[in-house]
Amino acid sequence: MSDDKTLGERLRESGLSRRGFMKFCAATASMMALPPSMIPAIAAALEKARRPSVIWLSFQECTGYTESLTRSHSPTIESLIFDHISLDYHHTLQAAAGDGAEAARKAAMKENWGKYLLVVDGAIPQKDGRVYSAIAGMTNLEMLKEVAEGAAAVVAVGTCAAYGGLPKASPNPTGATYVSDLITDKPVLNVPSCPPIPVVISGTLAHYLTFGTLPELDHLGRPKAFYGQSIHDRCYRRPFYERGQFAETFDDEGARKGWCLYKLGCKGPVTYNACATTKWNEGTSFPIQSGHGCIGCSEPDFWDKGGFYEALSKGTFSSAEGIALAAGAGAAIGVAAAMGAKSRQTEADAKHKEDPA
Amino acid sequence: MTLLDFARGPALAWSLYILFFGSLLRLVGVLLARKHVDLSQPRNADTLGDSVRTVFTRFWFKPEFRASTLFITLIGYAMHIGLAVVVLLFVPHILFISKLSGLSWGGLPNDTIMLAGAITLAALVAMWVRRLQNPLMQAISNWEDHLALFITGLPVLTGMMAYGHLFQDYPTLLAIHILSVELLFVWFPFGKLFHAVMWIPTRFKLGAHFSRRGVKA
Amino acid sequence: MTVDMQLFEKFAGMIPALAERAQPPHMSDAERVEKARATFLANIDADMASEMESCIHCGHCADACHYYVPTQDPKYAPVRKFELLKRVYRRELSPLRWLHRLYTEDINADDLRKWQELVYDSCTECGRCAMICPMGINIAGMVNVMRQGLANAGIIPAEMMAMEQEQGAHGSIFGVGPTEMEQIVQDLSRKQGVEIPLNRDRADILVTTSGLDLLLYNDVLIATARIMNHLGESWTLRSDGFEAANFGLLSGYEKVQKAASERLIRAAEACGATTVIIPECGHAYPSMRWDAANLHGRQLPFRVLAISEYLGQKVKSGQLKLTPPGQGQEGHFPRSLQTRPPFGFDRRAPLGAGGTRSRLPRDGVAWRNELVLRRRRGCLPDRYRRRTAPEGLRYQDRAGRCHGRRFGGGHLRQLPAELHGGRAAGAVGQEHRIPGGTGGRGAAGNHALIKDQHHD
Ligand code: SF4
Ligand code: SF4
Ligand code: SF4
Repeated sequence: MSDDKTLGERLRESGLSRRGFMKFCAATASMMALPPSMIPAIAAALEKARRPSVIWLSFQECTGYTESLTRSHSPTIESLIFDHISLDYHHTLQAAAGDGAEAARKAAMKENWGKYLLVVDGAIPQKDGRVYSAIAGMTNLEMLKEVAEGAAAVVAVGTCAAYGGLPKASPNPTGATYVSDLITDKPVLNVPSCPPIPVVISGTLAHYLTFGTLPELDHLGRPKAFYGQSIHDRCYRRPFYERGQFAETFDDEGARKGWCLYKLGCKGPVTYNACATTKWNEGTSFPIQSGHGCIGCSEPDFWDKGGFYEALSKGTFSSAEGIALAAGAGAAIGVAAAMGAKSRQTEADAKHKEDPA
Repeated sequence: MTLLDFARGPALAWSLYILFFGSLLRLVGVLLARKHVDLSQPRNADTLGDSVRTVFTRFWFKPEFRASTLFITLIGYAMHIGLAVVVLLFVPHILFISKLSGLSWGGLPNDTIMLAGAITLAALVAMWVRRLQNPLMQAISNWEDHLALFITGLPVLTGMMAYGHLFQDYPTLLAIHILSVELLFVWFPFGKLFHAVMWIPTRFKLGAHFSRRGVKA
Repeated sequence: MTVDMQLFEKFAGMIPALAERAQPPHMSDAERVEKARATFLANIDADMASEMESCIHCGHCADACHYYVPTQDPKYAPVRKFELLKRVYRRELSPLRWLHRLYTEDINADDLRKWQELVYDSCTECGRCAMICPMGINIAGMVNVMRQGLANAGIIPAEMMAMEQEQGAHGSIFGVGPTEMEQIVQDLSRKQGVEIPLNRDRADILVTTSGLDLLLYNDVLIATARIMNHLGESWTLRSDGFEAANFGLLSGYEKVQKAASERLIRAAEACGATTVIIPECGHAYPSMRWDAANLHGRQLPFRVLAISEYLGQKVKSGQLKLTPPGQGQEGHFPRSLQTRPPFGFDRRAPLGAGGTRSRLPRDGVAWRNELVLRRRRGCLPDRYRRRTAPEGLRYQDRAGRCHGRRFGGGHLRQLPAELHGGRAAGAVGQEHRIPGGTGGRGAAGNHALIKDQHHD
């Protein structure tokens, strides 16, 4: 906390070359759709950036994001940026425990009141007196409200925090909800994905460090720079889609030839994320490249969209019974209608037989 | 629930319920209508073959009517075939149908589908212009005729827009597309689009009527 | 054949006067609507229901209709002709009536009056439109129900009403009742030296004719008698049942239609006929062949043949030999006999013999031609003149051709000369060919005169 080195100093300390740093700045600029002329400005800003205080709250979640970030093989520029921030409270990573940990949180909040960043991963249970998740005697909601009050901005990391994710998936036993549902008086930035790509949050942090503001967001609160295009739009298998060449199973000829995975349930066309461009593990691959369709994890309620292996165009509903019932009811009323018509005709017969005046 | 979820889920369910409810209601109601028992001596007692034949011979006009009918018949065919290609041979549509019916078959490349869609739309527009411009068509058209054209054209248009990401993001366009199809489902049993079902029994009956009298219809 | 043109003009002149003889029923508008509605409802059957649920308003039927084709007037689109029936159907019988009622107008007396022109004056119930309709809609059948509705509502064109009322009240047409008929037949038989068996108690074949044939085109009857005698048939004409024309069918007034066909049924039963021959007429035949049994309430104990159908059978069986081309007469057959048999639609063996070569456009042309001829003769009401567009003349020639129907190997016009009144085809004036009856057929033209005044 007392460490007030700038980001530039810290990066040099860890052995990052100037060239590597500029490369990162260029990448950041391009990811955030800024013109190349902005690169020096970004570099200068990042160079001088002081480490911001960050409080990280974990609610109903699987620690996936922390895992994804900390399991990188070699130290990456993302992890370095992450290292640079002053992570004053994080269940998984902090050494302190119990009252000590809570005291640290309180102290950080007090010291940086109005300036710290609140990062949340995990959904917040609302049912049954919110008993399903509590920390240090506080329900998740209480803690969220308390910390959010003094935060400059809230970053909801992972789909659970951003949109409710798995906890909120039907039938949502804990009544889970998401951050922006509860925090409406602060800017909330969503970094959904299950888990999110590390570079997305580091890029977002870089933006915050550079400009002191949150980047431009889409209608779902996601930074447009990373979530502006669908997986499908940037997918290297797209030509196969256009030609109508689809893998029918995961081990057929088409699958081996790398054909489109639409029929196997790929949700790429309606999923906005950076996987297809930034990829994972330092650009090694992403799900579609490894032969599995996109499951749409950066979209709200992606669990409840009809099954990961159901093609997108299929309805999420299938009720043969419902249709049979509707058809049966229709037929029954049809019979009744015909009977009604016949009795109307019988009535008319008599009148028709009368002589005209 | 996003618009797309709504379109793919409850809206689809209800539109299908209405589609099947209304179609069965109308079809059963019509087929059970009071029959006329004909006591005259039939020239042909067995009319089945002719009836079935009439169901199919009416796909093309008789040579006598070529001059007056060829152009609009071709436009009609362009519309119907284009629509059939788009509906039945676009892979996502096949998947949609296979989920509901369990059937599956091969599709066509997307640019072919787009071409078919464009032809369908152009034919629909031509039909509409004819309906608006031609004095005969003006005289026999009512709002239902225009509505039917609109309701048929809308899914084609929105589908092509979704494919091209025009004006909106894809999920929204896809949702609008699906909703437009559902609108079609909902209106189908109640308007003249139902001719897509009725052509079979009606032609069959005409075939039987004429066959009974020894006329080739 | 020969037509006494003076007599012809006399009849033509009578037509306008007919209207004055009509006695329209006194009914309030509400009664008319209810009568028409009841008739519509009573007569709509499953076929019509299916048809009315199917129409796509495509307009193809107009291109088949000889009222639309020459005039290009949208009001003649066949689909419009059954609109009132459709409105009643949609509001009261359709399985979707609860919905249709929200936006389908009910019928009123003005509608009925407005549709009178369409269903009586602008439709021959020829059935061409049923041949083009992609949905398979039999508009003629529905026009007939429309007429029935209008007839019960007392909204029949006055001339037709007069004819129908005469036939209903006296069983006669143009004053030709049983006594007059006997008189004419006996005179004819004597003058022409042709034996005509009258009022036989037993005969295999009952031949029917029509009042106008007896008055005006009586060599048709002579020709028929010659053929029947030549064939050695056991046949008769009966004064208690000779009138084949049925103004009840034409007007749609079922009661008169039934009475007229009952007369023929009784006559046939009285002489034990197994065959009843109907002269060529677009309505007399279907009336007896298809409607009579239904009005009668049971199957008829005899078969009904059109004269042309009968001749076709005789030609086919070799009992009747045809003379080489150029020496015979031409036959003319109404369109409605083709779509509503005995004729098959185009290229079908219609008469149990060869195929008829009738082509539809030419037939439409024939209609125009006919109107042109009538106009020239000055017996055409004004309302036709507009429709007989000048181009009608152009087709005169081609129209002639469609009258040469084929029977087996030959044309009907190749009937032996001695059987058709003794005049060679070459001598038949163009003008007389169409309206007048020609050799070996029967009371077609007679009827055509009146009938076509009402577009029938
Ligand atoms: S694999 Fe998925 S994202 Fe890629 S082209 Fe196919 S559907 Fe689109
Ligand atoms: S052709 Fe048939 S479907 Fe078309 S408008 Fe006429 S009746 Fe209706
Ligand atoms: S039956 Fe003949 S005259 Fe009547 S509408 Fe049809 S085509 Fe025209």
